Amino acid sequence: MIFELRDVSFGYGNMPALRAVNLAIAKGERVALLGANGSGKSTLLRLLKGLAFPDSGELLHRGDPLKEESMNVGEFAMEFHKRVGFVFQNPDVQLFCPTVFEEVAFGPLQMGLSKKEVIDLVNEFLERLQIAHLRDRAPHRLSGGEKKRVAIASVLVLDPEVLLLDEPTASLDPESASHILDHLALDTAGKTIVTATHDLDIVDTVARRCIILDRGSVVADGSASEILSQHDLLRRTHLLRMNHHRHPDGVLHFHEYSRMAHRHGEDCI
Amino acid sequence: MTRKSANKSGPGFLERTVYGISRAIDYAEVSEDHSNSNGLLQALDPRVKMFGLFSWLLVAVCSKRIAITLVLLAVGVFLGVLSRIPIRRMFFHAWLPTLLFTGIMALPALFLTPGIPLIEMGGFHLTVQGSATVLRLVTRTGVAVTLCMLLVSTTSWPRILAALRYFHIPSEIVVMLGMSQRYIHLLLRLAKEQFEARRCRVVGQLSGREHRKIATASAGVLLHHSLDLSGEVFLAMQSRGFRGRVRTVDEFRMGRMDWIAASIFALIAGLSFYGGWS
Repeated sequence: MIFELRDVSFGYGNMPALRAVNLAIAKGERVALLGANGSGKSTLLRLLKGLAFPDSGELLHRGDPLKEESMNVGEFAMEFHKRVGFVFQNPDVQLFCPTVFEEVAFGPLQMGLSKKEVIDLVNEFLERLQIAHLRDRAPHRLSGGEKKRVAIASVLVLDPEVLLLDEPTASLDPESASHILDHLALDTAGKTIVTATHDLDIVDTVARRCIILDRGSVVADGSASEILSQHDLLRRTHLLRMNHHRHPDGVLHFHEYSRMAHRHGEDCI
Repeated sequence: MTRKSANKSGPGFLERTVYGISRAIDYAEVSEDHSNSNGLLQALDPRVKMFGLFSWLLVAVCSKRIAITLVLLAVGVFLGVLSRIPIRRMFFHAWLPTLLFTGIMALPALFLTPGIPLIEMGGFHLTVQGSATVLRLVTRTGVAVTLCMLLVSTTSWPRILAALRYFHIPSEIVVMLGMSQRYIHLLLRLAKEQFEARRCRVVGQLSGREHRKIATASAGVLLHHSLDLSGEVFLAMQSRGFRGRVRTVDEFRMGRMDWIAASIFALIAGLSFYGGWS
């Protein structure tokens, strides 16, 4: 198992964010963490990345406990960060270097690669993610979609075995979102991917398995098709809402918000 | 919000703040655009510019003769023109603030420095020595600001940082400078949006007390944001292997033009040093 959580709880002060979470993620799995805002998705990702540690319970990475003490050991932390990549929800947090090139080069340089190797590697990834033209641009002069692509390139360049994505398509226009999803589909073959999202439209693309979190607890865990077909569950966890509108012939339709394109009688109440 | 007399004219505090922040952002972006334009200094290696302009700056501020300082100022202006920096920009962004701030600070020296009286004003004597002191201070500051402006207007910030690393400035300091510039931009935009949002909800004039309240609240929110941001950025750095020591990659190549420019910079610096001390 890549990750195993046993009764993991975590809170911010007196505010519980995760409550007795039990789950396991195997190598090569593609998992979507679904949940409304504040359900604990991002917190869970941070725990998996070793940026926060459980208040109680046990978190294992490849069978070894992931603790604050172990992350303070240089070699272990270095190896772990190389193996597990994390794309933050807000790309402004992740882009702290003066240029796109330096941003993508940051990780490989910290991992001790030679300058020549780093330059070749970064150029390759800039080409692969179609951002070579942004090479010398400052991050504050990039669009939201470009920032996200640079953030993903800066993580993928380390060739991590595990990729943790926090809302990868949040606040992106449809074209930029589809670019990101295409790159993730093409450049991540064989990797374990855990994506936190509340966008049900991307689940089919990014995951085979879905875990639903509600107020810090796991309320469902199953295959993507199985979970996405449970409309009551999705509605109860605030992931799906009903939409109503009137057709020109006067018929009032109630249907799931995500099924906007439809004909009379299809998926309607 | 309390509505006060609507007779007051002119932009209010919120408008002035939004305008000021917009100008700061615009100024930074114009500087970046200038650094990419086709001028003389833009074509040079940033290390050459840094070495050359800094050596001139040292010579100008150490020179005993005002004439040498003025010559370096003139050469700096000429280089600015060849590098497509508008004189108007130099005047408003370098010389006028220099004259105002340094002039005001040095004003007492005009009258308090003992020496040969030049003019008598209200019982005080404006002395020759006092005038020379003020002129020296203002010209030295003027040339220093002009040369710094030449560097930042013709070199992109990332290239300046890379050149600093070449001169063995500790990489931690250079990275901090780079991150500061990056997040100042981000916080400026945030501040602008905050003030714009506030302006959208204010009708009429606000009292001075309310202006101060808004300013204090905004400063508090920005401080909170910057603290959150710094924590997140540190986690982002850690998650990509940062362990307290920053490694960077710089690519520089000196061409023939750069060597010639470096020689000219050194020659002028040498001659000015000789002229200023002999």
